[in-house]
Amino acid sequence: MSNCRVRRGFFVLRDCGEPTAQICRGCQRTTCAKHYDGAVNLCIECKSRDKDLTWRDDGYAMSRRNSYYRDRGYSPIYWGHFHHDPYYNDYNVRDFDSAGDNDGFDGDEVGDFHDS
Amino acid sequence: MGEALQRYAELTDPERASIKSHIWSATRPLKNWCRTIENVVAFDELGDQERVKERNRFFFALVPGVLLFFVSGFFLVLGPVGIAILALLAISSGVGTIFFGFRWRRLAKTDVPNSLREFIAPLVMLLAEDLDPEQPVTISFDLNRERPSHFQGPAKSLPLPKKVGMFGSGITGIKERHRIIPCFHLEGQLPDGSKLVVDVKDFERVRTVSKRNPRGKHKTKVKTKARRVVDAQLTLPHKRYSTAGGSASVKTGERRSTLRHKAATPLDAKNTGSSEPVLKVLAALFAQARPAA
Repeated sequence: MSNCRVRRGFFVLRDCGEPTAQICRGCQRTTCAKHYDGAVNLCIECKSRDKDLTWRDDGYAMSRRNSYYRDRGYSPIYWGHFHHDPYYNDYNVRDFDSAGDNDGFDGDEVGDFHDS
Repeated sequence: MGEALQRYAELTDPERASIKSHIWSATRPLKNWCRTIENVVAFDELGDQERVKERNRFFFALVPGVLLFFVSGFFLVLGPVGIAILALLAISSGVGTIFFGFRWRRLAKTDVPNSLREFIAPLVMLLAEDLDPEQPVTISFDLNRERPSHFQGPAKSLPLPKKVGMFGSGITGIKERHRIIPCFHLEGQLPDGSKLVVDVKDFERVRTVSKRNPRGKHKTKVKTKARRVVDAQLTLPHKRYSTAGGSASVKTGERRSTLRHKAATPLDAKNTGSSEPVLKVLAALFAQARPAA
């Protein structure tokens, strides 16, 4: 199994990268134990999407970043390996290639914007 | 009260010291910071519930005592038995008032201002997502907004406004003081090697206006005007990032560039707990980051 596909961060996104434990029922992505809620069989991102959570809830930052990107039009930076993950289509991510790893980088202008 | 005090006893010595002084300042791993904030907020919420209970009990004991004072004549008419009943009720009310007042006071000493759970905690939880969990983070803040040391210099007298009408404006004096409240300061490192410094300060102007009305009565009014200034600095290593133009100032060094952006927002009761001004400044900094060529 590959590593966890959940992206961490608020202004700068990165892959979680922890070893995978489960597959999310909502998005079919592989997730680690920390980012998976066994009670609802969903990853933390699917669980927190479009919900108004408080800072004490798991996935608060993810829920907040969804609304922040949508309302404020912020384009997060992404350093990682899964550049074309359709899960983040709404994010208008600025794909930055991980240092020393050009796999998946589209070779356009640096800091280009595209729907991942 | 027992549960809150038990929870208080379970906190670490630095946590207890910070609760009493309202000043928080330490460099420690992010996980520890998050745990500390969660523990203190959990304790404070429990403390708030018990403070309300003890306050209600205090007044429940005090009010009958005050009422007894007014109806004591009735008991005195009843003779020795009435006096005995009056004494008994007065003693129980007095003892209850002292006992519950003491407990209320004891809990009040460990009250944590709500800005911890309304402003600091959500902000730290959001910034924690971006910061490197392995690196130590320096966070400091002062939850006591009324500290005398926040004032900058002595009060200055301002010129009085021109007289208007027959009696004038009635203003006899205007004094102004300024204070700076260090709301939040964070220094940390991101996993990609960037460094982030966030500084949030509230600048308050406190104006005391003294007035005398036509009947000679003196009145004093205190007006406060505040603004929150967010000053953030992002240091990006050239190995990974270059910088583009924008609202933030850029200082280019040999190995890294430093972006700095400062913004002020008027502060009122509604937005004191909002992390939005901080996020706005940080977004402006990160928006100028570009990948290294």
